[in-house]
Amino acid sequence: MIAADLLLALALLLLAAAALLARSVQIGSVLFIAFGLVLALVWVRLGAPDVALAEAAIGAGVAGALLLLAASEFESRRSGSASARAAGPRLPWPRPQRSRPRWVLGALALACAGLLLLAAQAIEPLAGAATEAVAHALPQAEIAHPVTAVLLSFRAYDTLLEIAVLLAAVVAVKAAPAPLQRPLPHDPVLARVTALTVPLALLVAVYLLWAGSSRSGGAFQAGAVLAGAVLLARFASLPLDPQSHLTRPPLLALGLAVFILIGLGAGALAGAALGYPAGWVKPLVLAIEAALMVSIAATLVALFGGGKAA
Amino acid sequence: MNGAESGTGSAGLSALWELLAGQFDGGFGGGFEGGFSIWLPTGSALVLFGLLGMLLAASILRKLLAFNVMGSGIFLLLLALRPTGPDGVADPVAQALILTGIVIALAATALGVRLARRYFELTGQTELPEDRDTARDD
Repeated sequence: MIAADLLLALALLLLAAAALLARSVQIGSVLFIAFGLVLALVWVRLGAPDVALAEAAIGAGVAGALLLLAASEFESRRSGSASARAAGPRLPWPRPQRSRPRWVLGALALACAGLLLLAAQAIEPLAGAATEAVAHALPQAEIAHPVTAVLLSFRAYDTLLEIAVLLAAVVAVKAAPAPLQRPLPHDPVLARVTALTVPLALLVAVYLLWAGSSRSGGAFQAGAVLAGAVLLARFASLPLDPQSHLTRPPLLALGLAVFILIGLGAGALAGAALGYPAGWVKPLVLAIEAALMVSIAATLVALFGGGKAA
Repeated sequence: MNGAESGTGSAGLSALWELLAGQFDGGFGGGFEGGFSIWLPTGSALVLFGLLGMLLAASILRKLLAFNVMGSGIFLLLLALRPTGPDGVADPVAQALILTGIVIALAATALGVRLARRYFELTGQTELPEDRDTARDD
């Protein structure tokens, strides 16, 4: 076990360093995706399969793909106009007079990380106080899976604000117009594989949503898988391309709206905002999670932006 | 699941650990008795890599990459600080916090990437003016 741990930790550090030191950001993004997948293994090793699912789908997949897309766009446009590269800065801001003292910054970062490690080592472990509290309160929550109970019952306020942050981010992203994407060349192999993969991904998304109430899974993982299916269909130029409808504002705001409405309505019956009346917990939580899944999928697709060149 | 980390294996483990992780904390041996974790130094090292990347890289996209690596290190520290439960399941509150953190980090990354693309569109540059004197990369 310890050897596997050391191997995982070593792979994690090597991949992180390789991603940051890669020759180009494109290569770095691909290495970052690999880093995220190894990190997902680490989460499984540490007993957090929910985090592993989210890391693999969102942390590695979506974040890495966003960076890769932007790096590829920069690369293709720069090689397209080599003269622009030599033109120098076009903004009237003055150039800094002297180069930055890199070793000072390096030493400061090293000191910060060292202090962080010392502080973390000095923290007394809480001896599972939170785990016990959750296990104690779980029967009242009527949700079998502790992580889902924390996300949607005990600390539902956090999740509500998280959805609000996601909505704010997508509004900001949509405010800066993306350049229109060139139509991708038709790839028969990719189209065929995608035609097989997309129905499977839809099934997995619905399963993850349903499983979230009793074991690992939930709206975030399901939404990420759904968004992956939609984006895959788009990149393969399948006729199934609901993304222009999927990223409409009503769908983006659906999750937050349903969460607030149920939180207030059911909360009025239960006597506390964001509470649920006894006996109704599972259907209400599932309704919230279904709305969240649709909104999260729409949000992730919208974050990629750049609709079809009409 | 964590039986190997406590009890009889602990002494040999500590020796191995001091051998392998000497570069992280030279004379620091205090944290061993409470069931040490290799994930604390790993998380700290990831934070260090991310910090260095954010400070020293010129390209905006590379800074965002470093931001994500740094976030991963923080999440790792957050979970490593909570003891795993008796059935091998990690602290659900920490798990929920990390789930929220992953989504928020993604939102920040997406916003940063879109701003970088817009900046590139307007100026043709992939790094901010104050970073431009360093070597052009990406």
